[in-house]
Amino acid sequence: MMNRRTLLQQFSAGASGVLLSPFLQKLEAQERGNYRTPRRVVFVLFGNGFPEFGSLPAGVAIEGRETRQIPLGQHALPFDIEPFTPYKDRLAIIHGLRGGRVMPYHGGGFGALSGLFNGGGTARFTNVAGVSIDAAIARRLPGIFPILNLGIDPGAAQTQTHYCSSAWGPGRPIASQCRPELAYESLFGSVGTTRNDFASRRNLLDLMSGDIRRLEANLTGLEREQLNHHLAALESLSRRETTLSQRFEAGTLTRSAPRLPSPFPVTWKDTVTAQFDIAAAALAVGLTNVVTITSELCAIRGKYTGISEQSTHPLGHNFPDRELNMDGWRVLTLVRRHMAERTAALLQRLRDTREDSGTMLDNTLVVFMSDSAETQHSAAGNWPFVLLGNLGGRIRTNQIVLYPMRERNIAGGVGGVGMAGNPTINTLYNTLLHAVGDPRPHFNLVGADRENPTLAGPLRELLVG
Amino acid sequence: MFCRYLQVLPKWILALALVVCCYQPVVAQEPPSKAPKANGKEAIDAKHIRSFLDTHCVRCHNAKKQAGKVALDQFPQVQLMQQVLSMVESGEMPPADAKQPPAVERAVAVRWMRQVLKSMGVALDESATVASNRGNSVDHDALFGPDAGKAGTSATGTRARLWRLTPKAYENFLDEKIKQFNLDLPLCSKKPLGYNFGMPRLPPGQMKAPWSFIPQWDFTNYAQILRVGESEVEIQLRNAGSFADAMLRKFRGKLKNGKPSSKEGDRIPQLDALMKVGKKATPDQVKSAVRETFSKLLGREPDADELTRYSAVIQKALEANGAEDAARQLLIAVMCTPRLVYRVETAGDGRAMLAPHDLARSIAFTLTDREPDADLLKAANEGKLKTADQVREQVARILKDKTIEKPRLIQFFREYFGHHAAKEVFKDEPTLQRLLPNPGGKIILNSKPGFNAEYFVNDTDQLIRWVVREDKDVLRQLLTTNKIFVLAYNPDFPSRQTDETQQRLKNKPKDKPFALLMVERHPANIYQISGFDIKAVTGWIPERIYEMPADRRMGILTHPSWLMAQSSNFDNHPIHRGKWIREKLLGQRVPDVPITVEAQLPDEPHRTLRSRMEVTRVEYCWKCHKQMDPLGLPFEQFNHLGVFRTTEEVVDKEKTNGKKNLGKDGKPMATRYTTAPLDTTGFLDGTGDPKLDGAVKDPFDLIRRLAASQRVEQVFVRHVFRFFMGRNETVEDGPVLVAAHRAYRESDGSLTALLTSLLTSDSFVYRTKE
Repeated sequence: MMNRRTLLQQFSAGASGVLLSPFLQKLEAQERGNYRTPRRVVFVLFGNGFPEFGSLPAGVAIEGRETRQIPLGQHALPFDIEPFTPYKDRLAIIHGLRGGRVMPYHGGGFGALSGLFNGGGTARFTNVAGVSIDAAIARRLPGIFPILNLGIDPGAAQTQTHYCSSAWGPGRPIASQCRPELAYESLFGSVGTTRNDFASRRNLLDLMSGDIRRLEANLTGLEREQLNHHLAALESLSRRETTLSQRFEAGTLTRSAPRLPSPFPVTWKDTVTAQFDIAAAALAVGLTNVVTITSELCAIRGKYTGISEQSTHPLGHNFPDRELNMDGWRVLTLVRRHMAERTAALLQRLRDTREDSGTMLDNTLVVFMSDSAETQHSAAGNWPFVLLGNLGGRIRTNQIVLYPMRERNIAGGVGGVGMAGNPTINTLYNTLLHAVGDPRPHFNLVGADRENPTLAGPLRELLVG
Repeated sequence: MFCRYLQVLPKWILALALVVCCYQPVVAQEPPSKAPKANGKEAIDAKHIRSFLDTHCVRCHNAKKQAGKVALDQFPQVQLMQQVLSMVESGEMPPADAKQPPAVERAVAVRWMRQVLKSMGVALDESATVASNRGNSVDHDALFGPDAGKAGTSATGTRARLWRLTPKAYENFLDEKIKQFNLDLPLCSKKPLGYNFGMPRLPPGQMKAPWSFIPQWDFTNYAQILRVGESEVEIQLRNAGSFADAMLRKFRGKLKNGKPSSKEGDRIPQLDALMKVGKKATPDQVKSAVRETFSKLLGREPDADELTRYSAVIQKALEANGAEDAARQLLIAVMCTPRLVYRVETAGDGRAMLAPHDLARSIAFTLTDREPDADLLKAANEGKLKTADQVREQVARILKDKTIEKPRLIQFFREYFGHHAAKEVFKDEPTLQRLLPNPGGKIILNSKPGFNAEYFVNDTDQLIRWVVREDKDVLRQLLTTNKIFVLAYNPDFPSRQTDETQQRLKNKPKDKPFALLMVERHPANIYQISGFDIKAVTGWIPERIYEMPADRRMGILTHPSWLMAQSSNFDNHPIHRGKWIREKLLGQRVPDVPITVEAQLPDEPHRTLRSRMEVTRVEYCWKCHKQMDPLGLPFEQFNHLGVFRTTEEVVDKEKTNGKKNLGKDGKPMATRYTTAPLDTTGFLDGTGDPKLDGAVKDPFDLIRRLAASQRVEQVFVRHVFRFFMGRNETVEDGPVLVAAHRAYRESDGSLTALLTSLLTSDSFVYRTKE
């Protein structure tokens, strides 16, 4: 009978060297005695708002003066998120959180995931005031790729990358890869060739390291520190490319890669599907632990091609799509449903992958939200969220959490406005940090907000323990 | 809300406590150390320190008296020496009632102590040399006083260093290469194709710099800001990859517009040759390709080490994946040169003038965001950048040439005044609705795509450009003019006023009002320009200069942009405003907020801000606040959006809590406001210029007096030095600063003369390793 050590030795002796699959990674880590079940967080963002009726089951009142926690139990999920029905026991629906200093009017830009004010007017689409929650979590849950940031530029298949949602810190945005084939290339190697691009990239990185070392010799003090940091970044990337190169040579990357449609997807709908497939494969094979997918790059732009030829902006104003003979708000439910379907498919892939005594899904959390809060012209009175997964039992699920709200009318139904003293999205994000083992006094609060315990978090309604 | 100022301990008590805690064991347990015996220099420094201690310290801190349980009649050992440095550098010692060392002597003593400590192996915080909050560390009189230039060393220079290039410089380099090789790639400088509700639509395939600099309220520290991390490297590699692919597309015949390029020199022949030969290429052919690629892309030959390392990697790629892949690798590698990230200024050992090519880059990047132009490169190549006159010739040429864009000049003023940070201060919608005058149309709010703050910043920028262009009495103009541009177009920052919009507006029929064609509306009536009605204006107005009422506006400190930048979310910020004046105009240091202070004003919105700020009058708060508050409070003349006012709006407690205003839940339905009389007085004190000190009537009185002060002018020169040298001035820079100030005065306040003087000084052209 083959024991773990023998198994590892056999693989080590092979061409692949090390790290062939999450299973073997785990075996190896167990052998070293430092194995910890990896946790994963996925952010799914879409534009044009996530209206209350899109996530609140029928019969649940929006208005209330107290915080309520209602078991999801027998409530049927609304059309937009119906695909999440198989995961109802892992679902938490949250209403009444406020945007705080973020203005998500026509999209929250970099504020949606940071909870920070990035500057007046349109500056939120270009300025980066601080770290975003996905990057903060990525620092806590490092992977071969610290974060996988995938975007879709609706109706603009030529866009390759865009800075829109995430950042490591002030002025340090993380690029979203908007083309599935390019994202695929970074993760799994060039499509359809046998060339090992990872090895080439490693050689380049090593060459760059040599250049920096030469500079270092002529400098002292602060500058040397700066170069050391640069050098560390190059070496870290070089190690990553080495690992990927070994996996590529062993064929494991190609085997676990998703099949991209041919020709490459062009419509919004197909691109969304492809990006989710790539994300699912990257998570399942252990290339990353944090993924962010933005379907409209945290703004309002283009068309949801594949679903509607009407522009995204008039749809948000409830202008009808004459071809579909549908009001704008109804078209938007189709858009959100597609996002939910693809998210459900990603969850399915994780549920099909064994991990420890359960599945990968047990240790995963998906944050399903709009970067534009509840409507297109949002003033962030209510920023709805759907959480899927409990992150190894850290998040309370199978419930609806409603913070105090009053009702208001919106296109397609009834909406809500959270009370002025309600927690903000910063509070929820700090809750997520607590859940991944990075408890902080607050997340991205500034000025007097830091003194307000309601905004600090974590949200006890959501956090276990 | 409860005032926390009472919890504060006086800074000097804390400092003394620290000293006592640290010193006690030192004296009791360790034998006094001897002065370093090291070679000449340290020994001389130690001798000077001994003399300073004997003159200013030993009278109280001797073995017998041991004031504060500290004795300094023996040469202090490492730990004690650090404490002495801290006390002398901060001015805490000698105590205020003792005879003070002259400013130059103190500054020089600090330098000796630092050098001796360094020689003892102590890692000192070196940020003082570059951190903007340590900018006024050297006493003004040590630089401009009668003893200036008597610091003991004549040789000045700047330490060998590294600067981060601006994103614009990175993009300009890529653009030059795209043009040079006639590549089928959009220029980085190409404006967005349009805006989707404020979000730019970039031309497909456009490359962007891997980093951006966030606007600061103070000088950006280009030597330290934003360390390069993985994210930046990845984007750099991707950009280089796009560039290499475009080059290879050309090789494969897919040329721009489908036609082969006939332009000479837009190819790299040796690289073409390598690709034609393929795997059979000899090592010499690989080396030739490397050499020529360096030369064509970077304008220089690789050195021997680079040639060996690059050739080895390319040879490997050639053998593994063939010629095309090897060529791609080579192009990417060269385009990822560290020189695209850093401006490198090294000196070898000792003190030396920058090498010609490094000096050419320094001149170019100090004034522009571009690599050296042809003339500058020629001068470097011909060895004509070796004397101060030769450097002056180049600096003067660039400054004089109006066709050369000099974005670093406007950037200096942005960082000096900090007005561009207006865009970063969050104002909520109800506040804006309440405080902005009605522009006669829809008010543009924070959350809407076209917020006004950007336009106010642009207007101030445009005024600065105009004053710099006029180049006469520059500082005084900026501080006192009531001229303003309206709806200025800013070519340097993303704006919805694209080139197309500008052209459309310029070409529009004369009879069509301007406002009808503007994408956004602008509450220009904040400026209160007589007869200005945006709805009636025809033609392109952003380049027209207007006059604001002289009794209501005076220079940049009364612009909405500056006032908003120096405000908080819901109020004016007299402390920040006063601090700005104390540091930027008077050249003094305000101590950092002690960590024990939880600075909060009482939450009593029915009182005026001035009356709520009375909490800072408590003695131990006032010690620092008296340096700021009386200078900031005159600006109460304006609300925190920069609107001129004659009364202050406060909450009407009675009406707000009156029965009529209570809802069903017994809580007020809305906040009601009333007005309170406005007090705009202030006080100038301890400025170092006796003519300046005294009571201040209002902001205009304050500005007028400051603008007329020679000391303020000298402090301005210090700030210009700081920004363009990329470091804080030291006592040795005194003569350089005096000469620069003289050049400014003798030229009737010309920035060009001032910069020419600074950029030809030893401080700029010399480098030392340490």
